[in-house]
Amino acid sequence: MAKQEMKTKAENFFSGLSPYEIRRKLYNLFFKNRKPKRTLKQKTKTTIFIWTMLALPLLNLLVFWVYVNIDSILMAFQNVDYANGGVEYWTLDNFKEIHRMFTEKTPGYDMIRYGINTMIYWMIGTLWSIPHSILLTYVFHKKLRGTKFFRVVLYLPSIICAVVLVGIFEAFISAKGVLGTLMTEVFGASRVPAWFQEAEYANPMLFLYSFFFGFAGHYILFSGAMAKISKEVQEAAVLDGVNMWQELWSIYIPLMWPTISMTIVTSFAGIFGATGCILLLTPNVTETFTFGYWIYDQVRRYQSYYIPSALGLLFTLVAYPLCLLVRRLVTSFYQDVE
Amino acid sequence: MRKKRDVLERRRTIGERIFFIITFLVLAIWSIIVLCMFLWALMNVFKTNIDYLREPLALPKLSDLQWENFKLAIDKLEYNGHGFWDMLFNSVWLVGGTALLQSFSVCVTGYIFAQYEFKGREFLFKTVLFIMIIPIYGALPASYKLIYGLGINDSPLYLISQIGGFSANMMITYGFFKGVPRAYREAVYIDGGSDFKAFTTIGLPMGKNILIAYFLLNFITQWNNYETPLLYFNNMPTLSLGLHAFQQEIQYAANYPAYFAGALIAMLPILLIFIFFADKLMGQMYSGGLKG
Repeated sequence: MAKQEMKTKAENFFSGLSPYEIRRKLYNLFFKNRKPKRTLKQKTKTTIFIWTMLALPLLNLLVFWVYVNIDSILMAFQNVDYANGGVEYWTLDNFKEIHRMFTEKTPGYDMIRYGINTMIYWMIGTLWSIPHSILLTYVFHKKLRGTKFFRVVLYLPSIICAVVLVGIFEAFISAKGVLGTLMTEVFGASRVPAWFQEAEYANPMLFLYSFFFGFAGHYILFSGAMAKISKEVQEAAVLDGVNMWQELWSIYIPLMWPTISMTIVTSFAGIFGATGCILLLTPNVTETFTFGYWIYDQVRRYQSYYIPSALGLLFTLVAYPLCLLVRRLVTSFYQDVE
Repeated sequence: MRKKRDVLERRRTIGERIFFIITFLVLAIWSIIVLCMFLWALMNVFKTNIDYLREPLALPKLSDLQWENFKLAIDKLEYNGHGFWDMLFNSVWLVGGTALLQSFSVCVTGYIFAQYEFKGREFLFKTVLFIMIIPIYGALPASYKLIYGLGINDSPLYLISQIGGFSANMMITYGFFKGVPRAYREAVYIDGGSDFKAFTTIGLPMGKNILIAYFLLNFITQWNNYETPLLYFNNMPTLSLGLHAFQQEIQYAANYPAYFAGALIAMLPILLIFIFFADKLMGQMYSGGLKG
């Protein structure tokens, strides 16, 4: 009987523990909860282990982040004298050139237009996408009919290669596609525009593409945040008799606020970075360019480093304080929510 | 349990019902358009180009399915003298290598920061936080200059630039390994094991799920990436680059059925990952990013 009792006690003592936990527990039992003492040699070995493991990521950080960013700042104040064998020299001309590009009409550049396009993309990705993603997350959470199906379809555009998606979309709306055929044969249109080649249509179609495939762009992130809200809080709200809007506004949004505010701050951090699908759809229609795409295009096509670096630096100088300001602002909401 | 479900799923007011119906309709229309697009493209894979141009909305002739379009697509997918198989090989090592290195390195950095106290830890940790919040726009020219300066473009050595480790993703693995008791590691010491043994017998097995999920997500992102190969891999093109060239070409000399076939082939690995790992991928993401 006593033997059986001891066996049960031992089983209870170790039940549900991993082998490592058992060893640790036994160690504590015999050595009175002392942490295992480590010799200097062992500590040195641990230090060597830590820095060996961190060496490659650290080297990568130093070369491909620290060096690259320092160089990009330096390049903003440099240019090349091709007449004298490509010697780099220090100058402020890059900033003067940027000022000229913004203030004077230059053939081939329309920085104001690029700025407007950039802002439109940003608004689609932020002002449109964040609120409707919250609403969609809420209705899915409340088990809208067909939620499982919609979740899979919503997920598709984000896993399919943009080249494929763009190619199919372009064909779908072309003269020989579904939209083109409907326009000519059902609605009697005399011609179907070459949507992405004609400057008049290119921009609206690009925005439409971003709008359409950016549908519920933040849904995945928000659904994770909403799933973490405790059932007890939700039950309490329902028992209090709140309606849908009260529930969303007073319970869900405050409790999801860390995720929402992070998304808002991140979107402000990327305010000048939108490139849309310009490279795939309208690489030669300059009216559709954004600041982000212009920098990419200058580097890829012309290996032009200096003015894009200067423009990038200016954007960083604007976006960084803006980000901090937005962060301070958004974190001031719902501070007392736990 | 039944009672709880009832409490949460309360009766909706008329206004709420109307809102749910409208949302359902909008989503249904959106889904139908998206699925129609894919089905239409899939349908046209099996047509000749002439049939496609003549009747783009007609179903393919079942007696004459054009399987040759796949062969044509493989022949047509070409970039700078590199054919389909070359590009597939480049995609596999570049994408697989990048995904593996990045996922492994964020696991390593997350594990080290969560499990150890060491000199310089605070500084490095704050550096990661700084990297996360500072918006940098002008780094592309410097990065491009560096990659070409080092001569690692069009080379497997390019992978060294992809190691990463100190990024926003590290915070996710850090959060995960923070939840692993340090006592486990100490138990390995008691057994006479080293830190490396602790990492391979505790860190890696426990972080296996996060490593796999992060690898898969990274694989999908890198497989679909065409902008980076366009900058650095013009002489070792990937499949997405070949498809991009094909997509630009069909605007002028259209052979859409062959293009759709090529698109289907390029999509296949991602679709297979999605089919076999959908629950894992979606589950990981829906739970608020990655989790262990």
